[in-house]
Amino acid sequence: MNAAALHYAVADFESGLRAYEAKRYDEALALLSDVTASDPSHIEARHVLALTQRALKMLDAAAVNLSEVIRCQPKNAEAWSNFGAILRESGRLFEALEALEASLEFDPKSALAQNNIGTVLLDLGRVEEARDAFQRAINLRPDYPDALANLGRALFECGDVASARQVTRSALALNPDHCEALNGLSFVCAAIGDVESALGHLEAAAELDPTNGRIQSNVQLRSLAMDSLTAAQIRDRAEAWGRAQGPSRRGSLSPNSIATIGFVSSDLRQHPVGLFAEPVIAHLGNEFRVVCYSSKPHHDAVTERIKGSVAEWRDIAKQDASRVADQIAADGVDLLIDLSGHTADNRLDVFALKPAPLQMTWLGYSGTTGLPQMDFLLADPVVVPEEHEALYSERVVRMPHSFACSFLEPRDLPRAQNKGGVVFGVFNNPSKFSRSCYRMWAEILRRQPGSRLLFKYQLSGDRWVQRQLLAKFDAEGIATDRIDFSPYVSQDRHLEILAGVDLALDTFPYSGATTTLDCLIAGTPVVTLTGGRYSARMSASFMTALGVTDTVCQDESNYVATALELANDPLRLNDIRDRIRRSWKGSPLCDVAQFQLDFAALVQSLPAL
Amino acid sequence: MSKLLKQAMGNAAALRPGGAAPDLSALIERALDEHQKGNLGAAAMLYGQILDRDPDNFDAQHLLGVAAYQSGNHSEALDLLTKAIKVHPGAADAYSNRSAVFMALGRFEEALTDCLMALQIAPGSPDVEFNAGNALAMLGRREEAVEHYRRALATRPFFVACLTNLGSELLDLDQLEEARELLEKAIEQDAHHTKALLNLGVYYQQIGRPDMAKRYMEEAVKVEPRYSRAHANLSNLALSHGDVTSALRSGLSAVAHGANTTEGHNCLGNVYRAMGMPREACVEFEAAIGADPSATACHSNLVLSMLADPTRTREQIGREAVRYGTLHAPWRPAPPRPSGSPERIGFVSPDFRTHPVGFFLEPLLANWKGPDVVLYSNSRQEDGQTRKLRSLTSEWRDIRHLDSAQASELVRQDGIDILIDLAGHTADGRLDVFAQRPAPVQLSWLGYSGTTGLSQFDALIADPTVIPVAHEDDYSEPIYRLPHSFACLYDLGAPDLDRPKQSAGPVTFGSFNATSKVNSVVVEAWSRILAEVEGSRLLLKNIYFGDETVRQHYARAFESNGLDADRLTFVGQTSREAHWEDIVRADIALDSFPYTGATTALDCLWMGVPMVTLLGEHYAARMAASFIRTAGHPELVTNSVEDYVATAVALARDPVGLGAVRSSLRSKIMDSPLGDAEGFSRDFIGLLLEIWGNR
Repeated sequence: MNAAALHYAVADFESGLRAYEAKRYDEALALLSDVTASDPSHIEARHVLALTQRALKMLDAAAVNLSEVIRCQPKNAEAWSNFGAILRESGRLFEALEALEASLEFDPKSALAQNNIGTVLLDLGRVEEARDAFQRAINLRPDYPDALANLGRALFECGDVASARQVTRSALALNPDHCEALNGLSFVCAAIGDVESALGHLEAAAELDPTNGRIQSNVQLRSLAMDSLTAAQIRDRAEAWGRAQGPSRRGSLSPNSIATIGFVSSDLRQHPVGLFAEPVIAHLGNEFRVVCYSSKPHHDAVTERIKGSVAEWRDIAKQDASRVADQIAADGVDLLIDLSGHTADNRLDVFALKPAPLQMTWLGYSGTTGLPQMDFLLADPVVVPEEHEALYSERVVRMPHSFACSFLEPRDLPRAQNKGGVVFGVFNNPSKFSRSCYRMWAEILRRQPGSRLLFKYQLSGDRWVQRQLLAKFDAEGIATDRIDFSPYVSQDRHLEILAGVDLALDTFPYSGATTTLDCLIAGTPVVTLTGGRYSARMSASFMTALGVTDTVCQDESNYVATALELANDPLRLNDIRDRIRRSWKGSPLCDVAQFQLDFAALVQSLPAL
Repeated sequence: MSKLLKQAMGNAAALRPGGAAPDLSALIERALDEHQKGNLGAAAMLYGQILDRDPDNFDAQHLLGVAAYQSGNHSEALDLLTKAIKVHPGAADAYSNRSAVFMALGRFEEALTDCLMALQIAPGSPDVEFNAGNALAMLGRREEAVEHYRRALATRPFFVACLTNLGSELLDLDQLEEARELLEKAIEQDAHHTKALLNLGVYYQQIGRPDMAKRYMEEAVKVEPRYSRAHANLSNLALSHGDVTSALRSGLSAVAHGANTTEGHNCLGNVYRAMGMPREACVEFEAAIGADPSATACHSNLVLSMLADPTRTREQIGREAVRYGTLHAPWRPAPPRPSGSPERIGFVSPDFRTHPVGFFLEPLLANWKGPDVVLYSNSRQEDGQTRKLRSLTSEWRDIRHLDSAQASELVRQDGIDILIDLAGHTADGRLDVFAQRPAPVQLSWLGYSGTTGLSQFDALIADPTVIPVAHEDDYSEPIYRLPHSFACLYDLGAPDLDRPKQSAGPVTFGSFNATSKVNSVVVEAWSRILAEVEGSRLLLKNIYFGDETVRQHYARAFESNGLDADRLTFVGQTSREAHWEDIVRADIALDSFPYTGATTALDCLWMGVPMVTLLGEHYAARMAASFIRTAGHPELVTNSVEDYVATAVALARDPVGLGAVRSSLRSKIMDSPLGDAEGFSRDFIGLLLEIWGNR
């Protein structure tokens, strides 16, 4: 190549680099493509070209270019690191991990590489290793808010909420506007039953980064537990979010009949959603072509069973929404079912692209998604009665009895023998403890001297979390020695503990679901307060399907009165327990076969609606 | 021209091969010539021309790098010298020169590697040994630095810079006498060597000869009037003797002429703190940190000064403390807690002596019925109180000269179950040790009145007043509370009360708090009180009121609030006996805010002098309130400045009420939980067990 061309190539690289740094990616793409075309050995240009392609989401091309860079410069730590990031974004998580580990080999002191390794490990659910990687990152570079926020998250996932709080506060001390840290702090607040602060931090984060889908979804989810928000307000927020997702690219005609059904979920595993959905998916798998799109790489025995019952299984973890949407369209899915709503690891971004002509949300999220592209919300007559339909942006369709069917058989467990005094049990997660809850429970304890309250939730064995909750009751004047916390136990023991309390107290406005079913299976009555939205009516739905609705209350004073009444009327309480046990047999709540048939029929009916 | 350059050029001349093309050798000659003359630009151009023709010409590459370094283009110099080394990996000079560039860039590890490489190729060079020593010193690897310095001096015994640096390191290693010898030798060689002069001054300061210290430090600034560090040392020396006037003058000199040294800003910050100017102090400490972000002591000074600053909220203080923790004590997992009960408790402090902490600790230890106690001391000062405390405990360890790794290892070897910090961000604290997380349970108590900001603490021991539940979120540590106050009464050694219950004449208000706590807002409030109580006087007692500059500063402050300065009585440091006499001269004690008194509150109450306090927003702002409430006088705790002024005035106007309060104060305290040291000790140990159990 002559000097003039070389000079020209250099000039274009410089301008290409400048364009990349100024985020003018299209310009950078054009310039750098020229350079590498005329001088294929220009490694630096190829490297920046790959980064540009990554920014433009042309991940496959980026990966190819970066491989070439590495081939020529096998010890280039930065190149390995960038390669890892691209692989991660392509959903090629194991390869990403290898690339990042290679990067560390050539630059052992890179805090960035440690941080990036940690993020991939988190994606893979290897939380302890992730925690260690992030810790190495902050030891190399203490002034690293991203790594601190990530460490906070990893610590939270490891169950160390106190440390998660410390570390997240560290990130915020360095950068008070750090979205991920604010997000992380909201999880800590939720875990210690401080729903208001949780939502406050999320709203701050959402304002700082309105395009962050995860944070926006978290706002929706936490709102469900706020007793100060009305259902209309929640819907309005959800719809505002939904509109911001933009119009869908595709238009497609509604099919005449359903042939292919897709399920999108991060929870097709040992998880309530996976367990509830399994029999439905299996049954549908017989009649229809079913494809599962799994947005998290966790696999276990339940995953294997579900996999075995469907036509296709696709791992879509971390993959770009358009790519996933293209796959769904290519699979010819007629009805795409969302099992996440605004819960963690949802793929509403895929639904926003309307890859299937009919889209329905069911089970995983107890509320409206707000997404205009979501055609249906599958409910039941209790969680969404006719008069509430306006509160949902989707069209409401209903299972005849309850939106879910118990996958567990009722158990015959020893009854409560609480001689000292009545024992009330709360088995929901503190993220559902609203002010109403503290108020009602404190009132009950105050008016029932000698009674005790037992908490059991995932982290109820953690002393620090316990202290935070006790402080809330202390503030209400309840002596903290009346409150117990159950340690973490196996599933069998779990039901025994539920059976061992006299009466369970549900949360409001975000009621229990699986926890309520577990109580009913164990034969323990649940006092529940229904409200004006799906999330406040799930326990009521189960008890209505079971046919024992004595403990379904309409207002706070009713809830308190019912709890106190039953606490002081053992005959009546026993009668309810007996009826619960007797009602299981033949009730729609555990009639899996019927539920499967009803579900299939409903699916068939959708095109005509 | 630098020695190294000369050497490099000499070697270049020697290497100039016969094989080089004739026009190339001419070019090299010219380039060297220009370089020697100091025409770096011209030389660089010529080196460039050589490299155009002979890209692998080591000399040109090497000397071009040196020229770049001399021009201050450090990153360029680094690239060039690296290329030179690639061409000819066996040239000691190139490594040596590159190490200088690394030093300039603050990349001390790499500088060290290059020095060691150079020494491997050409052992024994005193200059390179010296450079290696400097790199190691910057990395805090003192003992290794010393080895290299010694080797340099073995070859070149009168190497002044090396003598000085070795002397400086030995001072830090507490090898004082040898340090002195070396520094004196350096000065013998060069009477104007300012760094040697300063370090010799530091030596005298360390052996307690402030007069000699001052002499040498002043000599250093005489030679170099802009020697910021020397001014800073003079300032600190003066301040430690209560001479704020000199401290201020030296402090201002330390930051004069655009000098931006950590030491300069830090010492001036200390002066402003002593003058009750917390905001100005914070500005200086922030500047000190800006000059060197790794200066943890300055960062601690900042956090501590914020406690006294009326414009800072609890949230801001908490956040800055967390910043400290984040930057200087990154999170690490705690070691597993052994099963069973704790068996060995460690206390870490520089204040096991005549000091509030040393006093408060005594009743706890004297009544201690619990696990073994080990005291880890971070101070050289020992006195009667030290002996008392040592006699009450199992073991004593001096950790003054141990770095954080060594000290943590000692704590681990000692099998400490619970490690208690008694210093926090106050002077000579060892938060660095706690950062290493050597004990399964670590907690903060008493010595530092606020959140440390470190995530390595499992608890901060407080009481219901200093940290109510609603405030907990702004504290990094989980909060545990003793039932009454965070501390109890110690043996004050005070005389019996024998003065009249009602003093004759006009009311005397008294303040016995540190000047660092008496800021302009406090002065304003006190002026209002005195304005409303005709004929009243204000007694102001503290070591720094013995200084003329401080007296004038406060006199002006009161005058600007309309109060005649002749209503003020200033008293400086006195004996302990005279201290009690001064306290009883006051009818009513006025507490400072936001940073309240603690020992002064107890002193006053014990001597029957009621203290009016303002209940503030954070721990340090609520301490006196805690003692006063526990002593049974909640009416003396006010909730606003208005209330504070009104309460003081009302008390002054009610001689009968005042007399009643005064006469009952001592017995009331004795009967209160403050007087129950046994109970306090029991509660404390119980709390330790609870904290242990929750881990």
